[in-house]
Amino acid sequence: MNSVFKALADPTRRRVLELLKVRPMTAGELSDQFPVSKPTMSAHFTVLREADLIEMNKAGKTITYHLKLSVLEDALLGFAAVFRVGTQAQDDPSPLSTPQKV
Amino acid sequence: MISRQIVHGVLWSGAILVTALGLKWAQHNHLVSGDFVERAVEVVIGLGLAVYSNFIPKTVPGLKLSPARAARFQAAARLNAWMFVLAGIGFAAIWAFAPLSLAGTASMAVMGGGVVVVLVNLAICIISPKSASPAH
Repeated sequence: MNSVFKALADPTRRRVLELLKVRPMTAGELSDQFPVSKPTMSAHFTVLREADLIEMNKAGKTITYHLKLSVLEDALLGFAAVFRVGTQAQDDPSPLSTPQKV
Repeated sequence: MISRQIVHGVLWSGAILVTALGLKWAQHNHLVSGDFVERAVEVVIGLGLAVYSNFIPKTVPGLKLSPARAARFQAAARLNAWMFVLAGIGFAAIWAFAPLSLAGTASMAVMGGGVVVVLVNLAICIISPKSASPAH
C-alpha cells in the first residue's frame, strides 16, 4: 500500500492515470502529453508499475500501458487530485520527487 | 492468478461460515440476540461483496483486444466495480442501521439497482459497434 501512496503522491503520475482512464495508451502517446524527457517518463511508469496501478503490454517496439486501478485506488486517486497532494513538487526535476542535496 | 482468486474466494466464504457459526453459538448461549445475528451476517455479506468487487478492475483480461474495445471493456469494468462496491457498502449500511422491518426490502432494492446498472452497462458494452471510439 505504501508504494500506491508514493505513486499517487506525484501529480505527473496522477495525470498519467487520468489519461489511462480514457483508454490504454502507448508510452509515446503518454510522453507527448508532458513537458519532460522520455527517461523521466519511463521512471514514472516504473513507479506506477511497481505499485501495480498500470500494466505494460509490449508488441514489437510498441509499449502500451493499461490502467489497473482497484476501486479503492481509484478513490484515493480522486482524493489526491481534489486535495492537490504533492503539487508543490511539480517543479522538482526528479521523477521520484525526492529532495536533492545542494 | 486464477488459483490465487480461488484461494481468496474459499477463504472469504470460510470466514463468512465461521462468522455465522460463531454468531449462532453466541445466540445459543444468550450472548447476543437473534436480531443482532441476522444483522451481523448480512453486514458481513455486504462488506464481502464490496471488498471482492474492489479488485474487479485489476483482474480484467483486456490486453489482447483492439484499443477501442479495450477502452470500452476497461470503462465497463470500472463502472461495474464501483456499482458493486457501492451496492455492497449500501447493503451493509442498511442492515447495520435501518429498522429490521425495512432492511430486507431496502437492501434488496439497493443491490437490485446495482445489478440492473451493471447488466445495462454490460449490454451496452457488448452490443456497441466495434468501430466506436471510446467515450471521453
